[in-house]
Amino acid sequence: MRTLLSLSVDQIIKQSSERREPDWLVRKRVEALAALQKLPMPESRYTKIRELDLDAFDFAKQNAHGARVSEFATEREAVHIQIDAKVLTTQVPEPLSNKIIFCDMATAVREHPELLQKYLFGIISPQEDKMTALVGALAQNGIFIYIPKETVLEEPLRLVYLLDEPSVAALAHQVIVVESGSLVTVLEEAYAKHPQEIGPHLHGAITEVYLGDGAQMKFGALQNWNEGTFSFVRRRAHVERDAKLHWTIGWLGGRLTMSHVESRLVGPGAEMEDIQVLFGRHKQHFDLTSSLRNMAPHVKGEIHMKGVMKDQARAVMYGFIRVDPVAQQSNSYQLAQGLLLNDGAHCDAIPGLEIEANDVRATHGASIGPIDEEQIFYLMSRGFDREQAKRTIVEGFLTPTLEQIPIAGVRERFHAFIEQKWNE
Amino acid sequence: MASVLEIKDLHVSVEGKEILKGLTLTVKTGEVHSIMGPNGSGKSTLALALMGHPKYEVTHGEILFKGRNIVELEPDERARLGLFLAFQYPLEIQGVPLGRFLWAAKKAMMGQGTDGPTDKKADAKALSQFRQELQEKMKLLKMDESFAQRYLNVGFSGGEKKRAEIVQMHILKPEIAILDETDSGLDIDSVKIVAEAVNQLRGPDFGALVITHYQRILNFLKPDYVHVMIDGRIVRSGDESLVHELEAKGYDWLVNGANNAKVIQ
Repeated sequence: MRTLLSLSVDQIIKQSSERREPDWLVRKRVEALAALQKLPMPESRYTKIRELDLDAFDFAKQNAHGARVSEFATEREAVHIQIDAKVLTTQVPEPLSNKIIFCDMATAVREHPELLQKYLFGIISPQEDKMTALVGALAQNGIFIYIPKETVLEEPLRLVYLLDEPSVAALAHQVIVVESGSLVTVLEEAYAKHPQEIGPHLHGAITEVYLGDGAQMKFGALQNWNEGTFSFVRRRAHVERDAKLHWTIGWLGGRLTMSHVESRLVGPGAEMEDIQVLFGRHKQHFDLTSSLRNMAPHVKGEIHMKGVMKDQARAVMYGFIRVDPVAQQSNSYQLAQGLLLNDGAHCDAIPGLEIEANDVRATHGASIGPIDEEQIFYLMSRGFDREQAKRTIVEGFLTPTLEQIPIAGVRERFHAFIEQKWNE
Repeated sequence: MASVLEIKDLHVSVEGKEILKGLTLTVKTGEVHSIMGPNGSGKSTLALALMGHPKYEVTHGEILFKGRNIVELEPDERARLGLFLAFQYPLEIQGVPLGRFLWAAKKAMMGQGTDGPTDKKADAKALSQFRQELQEKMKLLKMDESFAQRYLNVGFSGGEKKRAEIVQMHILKPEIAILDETDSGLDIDSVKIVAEAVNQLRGPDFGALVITHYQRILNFLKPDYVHVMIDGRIVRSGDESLVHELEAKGYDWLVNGANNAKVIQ
């Protein structure tokens, strides 16, 4: 069996040429392969990755297992659907198809190589860490979205990822470009075909986001893999003058999830908000980072991370704010809150502030703790049984954050998923 | 037939320390009782023990409600039997709007969960009736309608919290309500509003045990019985005139009495 470590440059080149990838991309792949073979598994103070053997996965197999588009979307929606590593469809209805580029990565490589070259690996380097390198070297597919200037999209663009067959790796590279003055909502949905199964599944994705002057994007993501999935996600955004970015990410699934979200506010007046909500149970482990970098004056950013942990679930939430010397009069805030439902559950919040400008506001808050017994008693005195009381408190804990989610569909589905997890 | 809350020789400890030391008291529907007493005499302990707070351990005695010993019952079971506690310090619950909370509580009281099969049409009708009722009750307590949408007690002033407790009481319609210093920290207008709202419930199907430090609320409530509690026991019971006696003489004469009683024992 061929292992990742023994994968040769020639093999990467061969694979790339089969896909008719241009030279610049082949070079990136080769760089990524070197990094992949050299770098150790990612880890943090709270997360050591054991029981993940990359060589146990098939990186070539593509099979949609008879899935049909109609199971996930109507014909009128702009949607990209991937089953494991296989693209089921990337459809965009008319007249939208004349206005924007919305295609899978393999198609983008063939049809829009010059445009793509400007952005692919533009803000995420394939050498950043082993899993980024893995995606860089071996990503089978992904999506390229390009919204030209002054284009307003009323309906969200949907990206649906489904994991089906165990031991098949699903790696995706996503590039989203929103040119100046345009408005778009992107909704990424990640589901398990077999929610009760325990894999192993491997998912890796990198997402590069570019917002031009005054552009606005709402990016919603809901992850509900099964509890046998190792998932590594890196998302980074480059936000220009007066542009606004909203991240909303709901974490429910996975055995081990490592996520980095980084927002670089490079233009004056740029704004971002990152809302991440997680609900962990059993032995799930989440290692979530949200990083805000203020790189221009008058920028504004907020990070809200909120977690409910049940059973033996563990989470660590890192929030980093870095204010560059030029980022005067910028305003940033981060809040991390964790609610522990029982003794075995665990949650850490690690805030970090690095401020090099003198006329700024940057604040943070964190609170982690068990459910307040006094609150339970109060609700029970009004006729709620213990379970309903706890549940009411947990839902209430999440509600103010969920209400900030600017995409109604994500909000409702998140509620439904929590309900489901609670009842199982 | 009147529902009866009968407290017999109740001993209650908190973290190993005995606070109630043999308290006996009977409250029936149709009656309003008041308990007065100095700080630390155990009044709030009584309120919380009656409602079943897990920290308050009944070491001896009985609490009979409607003929049933409720000492082993969970707080929600007591509530469903018809007991209510207006908290001295109502808890703040983030993310749970007052209106939605009360609707869920009302359903819980009727033994219905918030989910499960229900008759949708009947449910919608009940909900619209509930909304109207809530609106009326909030008006009665002079609370703005917008409070129904606000998270339960979050950001409410002290007085608003207390009035919201009485709104809850009106909606949940208990048979016996315990008001734990509901009047503390209220201005005189609010005391009057609260007292009038309690008076409105008075009748053959409602009884109350009003715990207070102050005479003010009792002037509006005119309780049927007044009890003085000192050091974990009822040391004197009487009618409304006892309030005025306390006003004039304070508690000292009774404290000494209580100590003497101990000596005699």
